[in-house]
Amino acid sequence: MEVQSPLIKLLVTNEDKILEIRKYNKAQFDKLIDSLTKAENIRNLILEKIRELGDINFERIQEELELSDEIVEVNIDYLRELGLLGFLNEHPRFFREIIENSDHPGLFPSTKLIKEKNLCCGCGLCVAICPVNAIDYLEGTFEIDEDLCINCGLCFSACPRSFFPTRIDRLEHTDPDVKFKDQFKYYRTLCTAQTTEARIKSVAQDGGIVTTLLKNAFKQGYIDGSFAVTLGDQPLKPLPIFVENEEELLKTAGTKYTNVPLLKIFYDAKDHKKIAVVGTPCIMKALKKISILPLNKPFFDNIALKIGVFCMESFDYHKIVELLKNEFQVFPSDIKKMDIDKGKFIIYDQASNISKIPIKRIKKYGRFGCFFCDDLTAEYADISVGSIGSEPGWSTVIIRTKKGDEFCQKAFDMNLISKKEIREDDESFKVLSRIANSKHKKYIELRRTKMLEQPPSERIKNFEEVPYGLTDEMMKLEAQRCLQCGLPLCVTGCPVNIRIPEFIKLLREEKQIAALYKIKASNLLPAICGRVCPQETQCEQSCLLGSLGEPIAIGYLERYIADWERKNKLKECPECAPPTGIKVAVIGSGPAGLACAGELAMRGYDVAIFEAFHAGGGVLTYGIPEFRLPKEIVKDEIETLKMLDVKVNYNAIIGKTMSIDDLKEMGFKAFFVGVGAGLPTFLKVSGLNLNGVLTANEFLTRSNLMKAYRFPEYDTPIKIGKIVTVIGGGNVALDSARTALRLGAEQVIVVYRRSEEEMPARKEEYHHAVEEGVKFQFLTNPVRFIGDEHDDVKQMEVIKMKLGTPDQSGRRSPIPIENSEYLINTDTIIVAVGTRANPVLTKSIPGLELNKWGYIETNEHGQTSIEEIFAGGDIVTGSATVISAMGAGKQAAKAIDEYLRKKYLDK
Amino acid sequence: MPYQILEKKELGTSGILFEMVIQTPLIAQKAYAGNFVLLRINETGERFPLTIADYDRNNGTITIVFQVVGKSTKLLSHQNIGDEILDVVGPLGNNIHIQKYEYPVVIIGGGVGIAPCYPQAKELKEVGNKVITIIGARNTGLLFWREKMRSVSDELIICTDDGTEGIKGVVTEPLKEIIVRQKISIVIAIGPLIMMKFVARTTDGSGDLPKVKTYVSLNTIMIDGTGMCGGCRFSTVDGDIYYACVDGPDVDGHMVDFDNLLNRSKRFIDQEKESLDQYNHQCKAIGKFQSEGS
Repeated sequence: MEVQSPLIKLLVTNEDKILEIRKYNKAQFDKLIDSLTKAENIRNLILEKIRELGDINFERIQEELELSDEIVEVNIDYLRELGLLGFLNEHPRFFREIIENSDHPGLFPSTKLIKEKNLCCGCGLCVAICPVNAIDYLEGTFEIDEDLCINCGLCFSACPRSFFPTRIDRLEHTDPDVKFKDQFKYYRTLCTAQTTEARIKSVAQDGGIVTTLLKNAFKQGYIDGSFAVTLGDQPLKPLPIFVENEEELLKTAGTKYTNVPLLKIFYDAKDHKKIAVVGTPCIMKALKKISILPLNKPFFDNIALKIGVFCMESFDYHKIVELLKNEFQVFPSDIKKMDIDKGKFIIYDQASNISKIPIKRIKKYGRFGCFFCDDLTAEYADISVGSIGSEPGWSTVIIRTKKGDEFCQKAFDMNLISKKEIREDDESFKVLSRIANSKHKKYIELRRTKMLEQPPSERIKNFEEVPYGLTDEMMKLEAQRCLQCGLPLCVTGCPVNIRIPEFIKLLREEKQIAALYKIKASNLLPAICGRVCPQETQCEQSCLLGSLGEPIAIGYLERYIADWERKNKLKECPECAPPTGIKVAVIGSGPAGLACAGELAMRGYDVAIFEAFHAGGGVLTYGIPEFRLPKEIVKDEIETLKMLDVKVNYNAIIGKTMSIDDLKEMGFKAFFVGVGAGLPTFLKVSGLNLNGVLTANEFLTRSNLMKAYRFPEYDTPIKIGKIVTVIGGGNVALDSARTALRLGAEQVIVVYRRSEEEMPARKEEYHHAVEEGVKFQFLTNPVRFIGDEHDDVKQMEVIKMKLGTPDQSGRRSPIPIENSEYLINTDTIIVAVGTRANPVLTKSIPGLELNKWGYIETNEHGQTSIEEIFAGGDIVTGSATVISAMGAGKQAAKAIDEYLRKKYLDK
Repeated sequence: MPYQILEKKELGTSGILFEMVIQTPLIAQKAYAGNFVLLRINETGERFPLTIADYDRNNGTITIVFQVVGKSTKLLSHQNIGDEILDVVGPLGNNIHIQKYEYPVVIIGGGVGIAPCYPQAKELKEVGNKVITIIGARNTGLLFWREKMRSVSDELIICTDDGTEGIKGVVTEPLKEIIVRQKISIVIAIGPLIMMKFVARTTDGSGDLPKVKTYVSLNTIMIDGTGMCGGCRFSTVDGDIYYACVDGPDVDGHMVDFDNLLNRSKRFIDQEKESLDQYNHQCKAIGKFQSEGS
């Protein structure tokens, strides 16, 4: 049955456009369509057979369709990637949604997605493959001309980074001469080798192996052309080149550290019958994939030999320029040669002077696409060559395939290359294995850890934490997934710049204490942040693996290490600077105050915290419920501060119990104001004073701070009716809703005036709420509350909303839909629509500049209009997150330190 | 900071009125008439408000007076000299407005509300006002601080509902007589909500009586005391919403929607009963007997 697949249909429809471009003439185009049609037909047959069998039974499909197991397996993979097949419980690919919502069903998207996800390895294959030349690879990245693009998706199906059939790995090597080692996969021979030709030795990076092999291949007529890389006009900037004879070959000797999209010029070789390609592991992988997909046979049938060079990571040209400038203070034109040897990056200037830096320092200049790669030794080449594992002047050579063996043997027989075998107990073997293993990436086989949680039906009956936390085993697996990116984006995503890859590496090595210290250098409260930070919009959002839909569970790991400390009762005190003797007052013991106090104490100050409530923690204690943040943890974190000699005074309302002037008389020289924004915003509706209507602040303070959920053991009462409505869409609204459920409400409904997508609440907690049975009415706004003769609330009138044009915050404004009012029966209404600044403190300080909403004005260091008073957290920014308050507290502490040193210490 | 009970006295003969002096060095420095404190007796206790009935800046103490009505006040009444209250925070609420008025001021204390009238009368007297004080209760056993109030008033009128002391009748009776016979600058009324409601009605000019500016002191259910929870909120007759803790507790009596406030004050009535019953049960179990006042 020959039905034209969407791909064939599209290409045929665009035949004129394609021929106009002149990449293919008519004959070549027809040949392509013919090959592709055959391949698509086979895929179709496989699909039909699977439908007939009702199952993906490899043996029967092979047998009944008379196809090789390689073809069956690779095409089933292809169909799965296209979304036409799937296994149960399979993790959806990162492009699944794009395909499902595509305007072009049955086709892959373009490689634009690969670029957006930072996955692009820079091989240039998409440029070569595109039938309308819509793609070009220029400075460090490629661009797709949307007007030319016909959306065939051939680029995506060829790209080595979109998907790679896993079964390709084990299909080739049934040969008994082939060995397998996990660190460098399939190979026949492993040796160290050196050219015997003097002229090549003089231009070679290491052993001159590649140049020698190719020179001989040209001489003997085994190849009529070779792709390689040469240096162009711009110093150190390499260009892809196609050479056709020995003389041109010498131009290409030497390692280039810059990434080159070699394959983009592939069509320069279309008239050649036997070409060699020399490239990095990603180039080899691209050629491997194109040798079987999408045509079920090589797309380019003229590749005679693939030589891969070892590669740890590659750099874009402008990054090399930056590297040379930042690390060596030189320009590319000053450099004659670059090298990597024994863990050092080495440059030779024009006068042959040598400079070296540890290789660690260059990692941050690497391409993001390289961070995903786990192939050091070019596992898909015929022959792999590199310097790792060999002495200077020699190269390590890994001969993998029969073809590679033939080419090398000829050179050995003619004594063009001298070689020594590397055995498993040689030092070389160990070095090469170690470095190859260090590039190995676990994310390929491991899925992101799923946190085990209390089941919803159980957890709504208690106030215990929902997630159980990672076990040691789960932690190890998750820590291994981290790419250890040279330039970790997660660190910039974190508001306090925790050194995330470093602590993850320490966890991987089971050095828990060191990992703990690494976190505490930036964040003194990991047990809290690991639980309440919205990692999914901070560090985890920046994580490169997020491109694949599976960011590292940084929050879970941070929580693990903090809980480990508590479990092992460590409470190690970080080292403090010597005491300065100067007293600083911190007003407010919420996250901003705690972070500021801790940082100041570590810098040697005599710190006293003044807290209005009878217990510390601020929102950590009164706002966030027990089941999200156990109060025990908050208490313990405050105890840690006491270990640093921080004094904590409760029931101390500055502005009532004491004034700033009183504190000055007590000897305090500087002040940090972290009093938060605790004043509830009220709606402008009637019926607010009915019984059963309360602010989220009151509701949560009763439950969390006063432990009313344990009434009558605790005296503070809390009243919950049968049908509780919560107005709002933030974390506070969800906390209130979930607390209401746990207190025994039969139904809890969250009423929010915008849509689900725009809810500011943490996605994770939203999912928890949905699982627990909280109902949501989106695009709904309250109009008034209606009570009975006892002033008890009985109903809420609401109106439906629709989204209009965006307001200043960028969010679309909700507009009421006329005549869409209706009534919701409810006997408890919790209002959680935001908070604003409480004037108790700010009103009491004359001369303190506030903005029109009552928040404190500060400069970028947290200093207010009064030089000795600093501020941070919600009282400056309006309600935000725990971690941003902590960041502000830390920053202010630094600024206070500078201010006090200048004023009192540097005399 | 330990808030130690330095003195404890039973007031009157009802057995449910108590006066305590508590060591609160910082609060004593900043306290003024109109302020209150929030107490939390122990770890499982609730936070509840009591007006500061007197303050001694030199000794660093405040005086509170309370009537046993539920678990917390009962528990407080069981604390003795030398015991510590876990948390006392203040001074909260606004100071009352003090000025020398043109005409006399009338201060009305009903029941336990007599106590907070004392500092108000004292401060107003100190700036030269003529103070007419009316104190009233259900019966003579529930009256207290007669001499103390006399010492800060130009005239003291006592009344009881049942006539066991002073004038027989509710406090609005002598009030009506006063405002009819002389011009009065302000009336201050502190006591049960229903009493304050009727005082406000008496002076709002709606009947034949003259209108006199009236302040009442709202003793609502409270949690935080600084305006962050809204638990103490009350409505005005115009439908506006204020917080007793930061907009009061002393407010213009004519604007308060007393009916709504009365309803709101009953919203935890079931839990309050449960809590008190449980406490009584515990007391019996450990052999604590007490006479229930009327």
